[in-house]
Amino acid sequence: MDGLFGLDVATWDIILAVITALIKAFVIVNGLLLAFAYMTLTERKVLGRMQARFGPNRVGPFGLLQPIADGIKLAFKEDVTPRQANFWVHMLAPMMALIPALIIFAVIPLGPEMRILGQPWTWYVAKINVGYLYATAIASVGVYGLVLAGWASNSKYALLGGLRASAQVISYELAQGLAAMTALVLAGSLNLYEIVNQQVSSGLPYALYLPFGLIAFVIYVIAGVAETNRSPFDMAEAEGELGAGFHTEYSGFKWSMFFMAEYVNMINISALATVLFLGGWWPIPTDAPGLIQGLGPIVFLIKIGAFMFMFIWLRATFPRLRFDRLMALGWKVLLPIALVNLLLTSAVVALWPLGVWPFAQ
Amino acid sequence: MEFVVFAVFAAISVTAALFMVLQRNAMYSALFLVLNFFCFAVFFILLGAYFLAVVQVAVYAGAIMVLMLFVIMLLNVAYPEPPDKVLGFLRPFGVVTAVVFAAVLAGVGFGSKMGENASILPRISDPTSGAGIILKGVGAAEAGHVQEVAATLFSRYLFPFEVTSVLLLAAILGASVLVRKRTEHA
Repeated sequence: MDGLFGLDVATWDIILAVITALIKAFVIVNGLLLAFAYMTLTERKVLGRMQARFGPNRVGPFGLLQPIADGIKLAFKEDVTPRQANFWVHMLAPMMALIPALIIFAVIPLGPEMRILGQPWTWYVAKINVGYLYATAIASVGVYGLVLAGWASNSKYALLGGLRASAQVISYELAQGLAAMTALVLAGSLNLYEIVNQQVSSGLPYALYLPFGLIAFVIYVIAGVAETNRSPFDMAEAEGELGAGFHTEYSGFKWSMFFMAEYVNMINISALATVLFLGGWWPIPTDAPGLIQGLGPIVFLIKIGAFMFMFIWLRATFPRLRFDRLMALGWKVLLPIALVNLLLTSAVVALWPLGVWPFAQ
Repeated sequence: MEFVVFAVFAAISVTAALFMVLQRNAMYSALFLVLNFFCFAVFFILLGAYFLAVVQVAVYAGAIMVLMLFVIMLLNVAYPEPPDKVLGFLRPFGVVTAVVFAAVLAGVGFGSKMGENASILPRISDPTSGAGIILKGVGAAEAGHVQEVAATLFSRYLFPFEVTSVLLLAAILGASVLVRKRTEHA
């Protein structure tokens, strides 16, 4: 059967799929960066309110144009590379931090598969069977940004900051992975779409599978805050001790790439936690009629927003941990709890004959 | 299409491997090795083994090489002594190793039925190819599935798997005993 321009229909389907994926990727990358820009404004305003002051309110109505002004300022700032620094690695490090952060979102299913005007439409770029592993693998590549930035700057503050940051990220990856595996065991799948779908169809997100799901959820969130080097786990850039940590020697646009990577990683962690524990677009049913299905992505984004608010709230509330306490918390508290939690969950899943979680309600 | 992707990444991976060996700067060597690992992940995807591709990135690029970078950073060996001074006596051994390695490579290459296959890439299900040696008994379609890898690992290869984990455990224990501070006994 012939399609347009003498190409057959199957070829056209492939071309169409590639174009759709490219457009989705473009929208996601730009959406993430826009979200980053306004997240900085939200953070400054919310922090301001929590500290009984106003926050930025001069540029545009309610300060809404502040991120644009900041962006223009950063783009035109002088980009300094220290003379003793390693030029190529110094250049590579911000890219190694930002690119993994941006491509993780490809596997996040924002909403149920649906039909728009009779055409099938999906709210993800890729649905792969090892979706969760893809996200963690790419996230672990992001560590290179920190390590290389610390090394290439040829500065002791940057080196110490880079070492601290990467040691922290690697340590908390374990607790985080084990907590996530609790959800994966409950779902019996690594496919993020399947994981959400199972929670939606059983009507109960995994965070409410008491008690194990809730424990895993809490550990996942704590480890997620540590993974993104956010306060109270921002040892890597403890400004009183280390200047600015691994990005001490960065300025201008390269510095803002680290800044973007941090915030986009926060969004990624929030999205993954939503998928694994909060049921994605739950309570919107996956097979609802069209218009209600369209609410799925909105529900998903609201959950991400709640997580982002929590990140700001934590920063306004807690003092910074000491580094040895931080490592002790990761290795001696979170990791054993997550491990035992995973074992018990697996035992229940394997042994419970009815296929229904016994402790739910 | 498959061939174009393979050719591009094969060229990148060979170049990266060469640069890894030829670099004087240990940091650059490590980074080129990481690039090489990424190319291998692409090859696994081309073979349909998505799980292995992801594990390749997570374990080799994401964990092991980060530790290598730590070592290079902390021991400050990024710019080592010229190798002639330190490792000159190792040269004959290097030549022998290279010859043996080339022989093994040629043996695997000519021994497999790569030339007879229609596809440029050795299929994982083809037990005579290099990939088949790693994954013998797992079909191409299933090699990417976590369930299949797990089932093979925990049934056919259970003993080597357990032996490996004991080895790793011993290494962890050894490391923690070696670095432990000696406490004075009263």
